[in-house]
Amino acid sequence: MAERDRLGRKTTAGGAWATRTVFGVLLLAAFLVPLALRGYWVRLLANVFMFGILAQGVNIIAGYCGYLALGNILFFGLGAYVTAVLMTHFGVPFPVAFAASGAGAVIFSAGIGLLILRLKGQYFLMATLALSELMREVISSLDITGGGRGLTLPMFTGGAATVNNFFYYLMLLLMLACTFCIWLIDRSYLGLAFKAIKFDEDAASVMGINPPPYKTAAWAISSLFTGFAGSAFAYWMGYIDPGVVFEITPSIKMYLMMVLGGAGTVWGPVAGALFIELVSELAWSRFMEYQFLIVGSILILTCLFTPKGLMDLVGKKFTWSLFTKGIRENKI
Amino acid sequence: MTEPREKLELLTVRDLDAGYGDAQILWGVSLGIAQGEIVGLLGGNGAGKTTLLNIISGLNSPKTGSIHYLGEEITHVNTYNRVRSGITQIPEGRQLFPGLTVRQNLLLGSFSLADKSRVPEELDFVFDLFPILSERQKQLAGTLSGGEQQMCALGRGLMSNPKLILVDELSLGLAPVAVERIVEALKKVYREKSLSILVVEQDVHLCLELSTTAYVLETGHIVKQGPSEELAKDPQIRKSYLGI
Repeated sequence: MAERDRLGRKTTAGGAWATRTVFGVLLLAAFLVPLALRGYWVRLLANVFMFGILAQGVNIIAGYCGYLALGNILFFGLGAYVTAVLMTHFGVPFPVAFAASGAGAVIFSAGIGLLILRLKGQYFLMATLALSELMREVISSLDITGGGRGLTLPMFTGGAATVNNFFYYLMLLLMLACTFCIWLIDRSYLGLAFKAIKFDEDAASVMGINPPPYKTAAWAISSLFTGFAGSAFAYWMGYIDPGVVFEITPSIKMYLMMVLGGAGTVWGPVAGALFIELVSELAWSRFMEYQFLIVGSILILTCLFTPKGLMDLVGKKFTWSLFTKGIRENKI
Repeated sequence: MTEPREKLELLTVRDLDAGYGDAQILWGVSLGIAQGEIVGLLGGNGAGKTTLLNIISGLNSPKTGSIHYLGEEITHVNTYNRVRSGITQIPEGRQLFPGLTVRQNLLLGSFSLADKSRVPEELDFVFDLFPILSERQKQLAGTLSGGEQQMCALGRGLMSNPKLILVDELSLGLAPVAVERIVEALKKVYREKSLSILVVEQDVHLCLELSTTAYVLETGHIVKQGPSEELAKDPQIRKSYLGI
């Protein structure tokens, strides 16, 4: 049913069935991609889905709970290293190492979260950044992690197409599982508690919510997603070093994807990941020299037009006033 | 009205001193609320009304003094645990979650209900009380009018099935018609549910009309207390608060 605003105007035009049909077709297409497209596209999309998982990880802590976890790459690196160490030194099979990566990330985030989730706003943001740098230094100086030289994991056995398809479906299913998890949270009391905490922790406690356990839970879920992605990434690449898995750029990128797609929405971060990765890929392949200029301009314009993210456009009529509205409300 | 003094004490506040930093706001404030009683708290701007309310709900902590609720000391109990034991605050200026829908705001009110199967029942009660909220369930709370927001805030407070509600500045910034509507609803709730109410108001007429007992707070001291009917006749109160 279409929702109406105060004046009785429809805020979602066209009915939900159209959105659902488009969604269903996209989902089906996603499952059929490896049958139809070349390896390049399969790898590219697997990478997009990985960023989708990472952006969903940021979504749950920053989008829902309002805690700006800019250094979430910490759990990506942690997950990657847990898998790499277990597989190279202990001969553990991938599924077990994968589960251990998720568990390791959750234990670490829950422990450290009890301490640093007391910080708010930019202070929390800086603490997460510092933690990820700290973790990189620690891993660079340990023997078991191979230090700065990195680790080479056991190869995934099979031809190039099998490898591509395996990681494509792994990333796709993982992303869908994370999104389903967020969808469940969005509809539950847990999600309401997160949203209340994002608005104001005092107001949340007046509702009978004790913020610290909820914030810790949000960060633990966030780290679980991110740790899983790191684990899959390590096995996919076959080689990791601290510089690759603790790099700051992807950390900022997944945050940007979450904001651009729609913070605190179920599908926004996935849409953001798809949008940013495809735009940068196109810009890179077509306009090599100007790629950052083009990507940057597109991102700025998109933020101006839809300050609440791409998901805010779903179901709306594309009129000129819709596009100028974002600019007017930003007072530019 | 019945004699409230013979009833069981629900909440007792004794000798509260409180303030922010060096600024002391409350000086030895004592106050009692009996079960099933409506108590009014009068006072001008800066008298310390909201501070006192925040201390009862647990948002602020006192320097000295104690709070007892249902015979147990709760002075150092956290806000969310006080909500669970039945003390609900309807904050000043409504303080809804503007980005959430009316329905989500109401559901947040039921967060502390241990038995979530009672939620539909509580929702029905609130929608029965304020039918407009039922119509606007899916609307964002921030887009409601002032009166509707106050209704939503009151409804949200009732969702936790409280024993004591603390109503801060019910009439603040509202049209007289809206105030009347909400006061009627509050009276209805009081009749139908067994609860006690602490009403904090600048509108002295309204406060004395609603309450059975009232306290007058001036610059952090309780300067007068007694049955509301007597206070309404008190020449000093008539002069300084009612302007007669």
